[in-house]
Amino acid sequence: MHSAASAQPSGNLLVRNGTVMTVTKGTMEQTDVLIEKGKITRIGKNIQTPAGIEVIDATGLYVMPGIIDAHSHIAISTVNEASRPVTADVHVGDAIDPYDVSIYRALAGGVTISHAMHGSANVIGGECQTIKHRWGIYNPEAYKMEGAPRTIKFALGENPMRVHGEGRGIQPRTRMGVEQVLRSAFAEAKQYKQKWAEYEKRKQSGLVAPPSYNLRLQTLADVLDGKVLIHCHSYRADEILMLMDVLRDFGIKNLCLQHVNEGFKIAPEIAAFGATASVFADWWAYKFEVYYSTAYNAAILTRNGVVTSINSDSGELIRHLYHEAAKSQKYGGLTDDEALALITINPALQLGIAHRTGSIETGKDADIAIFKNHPLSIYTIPQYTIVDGIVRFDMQKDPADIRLNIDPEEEFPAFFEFWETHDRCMQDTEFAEFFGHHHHHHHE
Amino acid sequence: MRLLFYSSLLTVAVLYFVAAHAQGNPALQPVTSTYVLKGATIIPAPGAKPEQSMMLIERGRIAAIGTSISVPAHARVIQCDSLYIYPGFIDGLSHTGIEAPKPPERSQAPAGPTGQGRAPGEIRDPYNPPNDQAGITPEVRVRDILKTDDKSIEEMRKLGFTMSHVVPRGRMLPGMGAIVSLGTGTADKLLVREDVSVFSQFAGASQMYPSTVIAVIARWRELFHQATYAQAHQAAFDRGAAVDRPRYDRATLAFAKVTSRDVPVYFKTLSALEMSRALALQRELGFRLVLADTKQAFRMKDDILKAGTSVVVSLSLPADKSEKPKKEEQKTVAPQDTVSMQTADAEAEGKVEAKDPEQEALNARRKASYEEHCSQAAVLAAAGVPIAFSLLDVKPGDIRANLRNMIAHGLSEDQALAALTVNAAKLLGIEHMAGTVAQGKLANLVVTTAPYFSEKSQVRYVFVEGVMYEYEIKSKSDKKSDDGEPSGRQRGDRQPH
Repeated sequence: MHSAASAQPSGNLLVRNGTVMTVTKGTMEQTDVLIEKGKITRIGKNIQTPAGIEVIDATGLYVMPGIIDAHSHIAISTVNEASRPVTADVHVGDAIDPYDVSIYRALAGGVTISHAMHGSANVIGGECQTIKHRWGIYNPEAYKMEGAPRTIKFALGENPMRVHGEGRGIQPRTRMGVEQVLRSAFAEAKQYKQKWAEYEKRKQSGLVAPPSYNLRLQTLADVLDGKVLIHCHSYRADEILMLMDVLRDFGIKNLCLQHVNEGFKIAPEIAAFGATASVFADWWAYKFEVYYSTAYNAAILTRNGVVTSINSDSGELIRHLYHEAAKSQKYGGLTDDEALALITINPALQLGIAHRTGSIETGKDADIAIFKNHPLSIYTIPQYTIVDGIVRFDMQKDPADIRLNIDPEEEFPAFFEFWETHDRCMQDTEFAEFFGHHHHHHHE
Repeated sequence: MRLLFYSSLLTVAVLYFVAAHAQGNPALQPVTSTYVLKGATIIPAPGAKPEQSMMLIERGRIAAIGTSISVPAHARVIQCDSLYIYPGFIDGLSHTGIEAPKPPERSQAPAGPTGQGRAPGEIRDPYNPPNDQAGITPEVRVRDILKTDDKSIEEMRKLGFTMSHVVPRGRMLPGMGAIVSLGTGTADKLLVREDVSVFSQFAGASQMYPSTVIAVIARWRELFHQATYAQAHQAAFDRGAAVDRPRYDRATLAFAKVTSRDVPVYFKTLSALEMSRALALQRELGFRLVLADTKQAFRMKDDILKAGTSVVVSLSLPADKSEKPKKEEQKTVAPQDTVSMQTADAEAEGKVEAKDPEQEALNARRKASYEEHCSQAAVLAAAGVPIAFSLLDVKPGDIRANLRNMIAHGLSEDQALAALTVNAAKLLGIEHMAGTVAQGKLANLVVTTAPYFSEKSQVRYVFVEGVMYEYEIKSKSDKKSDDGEPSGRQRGDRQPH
């Protein structure tokens, strides 16, 4: 099972005789997919079974690329460092939690990769982490998708205004304040970058002192340099236009808009900027700024040339993203490939990993989901979920108790955890509530 | 005969004086600091052959061991027939002698229109708090905060601990560790060595930056780079370059001991997950790491071997929930009202006897997890990882039972003794003065009535650098709780601190 070449465990497998939905290169009936050392090496009919290889009989089943969720908060111990409006220094990749059963539940919904994001309490939150669902491994580092680009969470609108403005009486209290926080942060980072550039030029002399090192500004300098992709929590059209203006002023091009409920109003502008969009299928009205919404959002954005994905932002919704994608057919009439792209190749593009995942093509990572019945049908049932050629979920071998870590002193089994049924976008902001604000359960 | 009578009288008198001294009366000095221990079985080191020898203690050190030692005229002879002498124990990490901080007084005042309704001075700037509020105080030294009359010192001593690796309490970076002799006297007297470690925890500051584990790790990373750059700045200044005089930043200066690899970081890592995080940080930054106060290292054996890190395992163990009486368990197992109601219904219908197979399976996994936690020390020792013990969150009254439990789960008595003595000495770099019973080493000894790890064993004497502490032996008749602890006046001291 374990490949010597790759740092992470990978497997060999033959998926035989399925309906292979490549998403990017059409759908092929009665087709085999050969996986060697965690990579897809051949797609075709009647591939000869290599000696000793494990075979999955996919006769009558649908074989699609592993689902990718561009917005989630599973598999991390902490979501928000809500102590500052700008926390570019923190990184949720430092808090990967391999024991989170949500990883297994996501696999049970065909999801092989998720984008573990910092929350939306701060205008500039922390760095996020693209993870592969290598459930069963205890080492948190093994979940980080090797080579995936760095990403960072930004947030506009009510959440940062509530936590910092209302909660503590500091900027940002309004949408104007949000813009100012962004501009100040980038301006400061620009100065920081210049100081370090000067130092690097002259440091050989040994006669200069290094500028004061600041991880927050260093990360923002990397954002300015295009080394980190921005994923920005945003709803309203006006604030999205504001954000794109700010980024243009600072020469930043990499932008994925998250939620973007009013994206349908400004789809051409989003396309012109080159930004992408990651939306809910039909989730809104959980707070004032998300009342003006439509289930046609994904289809309108897609038809306007915006690379669009549908995300979960939830440990529950992540289990049926295929249903969420199918809604774009009811509302907007997307084709099968377009609908499937919303949860495969498009989120892969948004995370900068499309060269490795998001479709079934030779040379790509063997991240595959196998369904009984068409994955866009309401009757579909996930059967196998494969990550790097290793079967991480098998419907026929689904243990009753999947926990990896058991508290020896637990008083009762924690199968039903309150938090897991709620989104975690605002988790860890409780202490902000200490400053006098009531606790809200907003979905975002 | 008369001579024997008088010498016993004298012994009684001396005993009285020594006991008084041991109880901390600084006015009374012991009559002599030279002792001869006679007739005991000496276990010089873990795994070594026990030997019947005499021992001469002088100037706080073991002056001689042998079968024919001439007893100096000024020596006090202690008859140790049927007693066992072990090297004094050394813990790998503790807060012994460090007072628990008082909980900060919180303002309950509601936030005003600008959110400023809190008491003045509580949190001035939660966005950029000063280091001491943020829990970043690596410059704190044990010598300045050691409470030499803290009852934890006496509590640990009477269990046989004679030296301790003491670290300050706090949050992310509470301070530097020191090796402390668990005797009596001033902090300067008890301090054996300071700045032996930097202590760190994944503990955020309350209601301010860094509040979560991601911010603690980010701040750690930042501090590391700042300390490295500070050295470059200092070097430029020393070269006479036209740069600002380096700021005397106490946290950065103290942390430089980490970046320079002068001292190891003892990272409190209770869970396997925390251990993984500390190991990842260590791989990234390259500091010296000791995984400390671990409870789940049984899962991390391979990572530990690969990284070559030392491990200081927690001496605390989880409670065995499966040993609860049946009735009580049913009560505590009920998670929610609905289930309680079901239980109540079931009781009413007399169906309590029926076993729920799902519940049974869950209990079995919990029991298995309990067993795994108890086997932590054994798993590491068997893999060849030299372990020491941490006392950070163990109740003193549980220590001996927990050691026996670890032994019941596969730790050999020699391995347990090594963890308490030579391993800790080696880890702390004091093996030349402590950890074994040998001529020239400090006279740190535990003298027991039976082999230490046996249930009936009681501590009779503890020597800390030649100072004798004597403990009464419980007779069989007043043994009720049978926990192998000395009784009498010590009993009242057995609360956790």
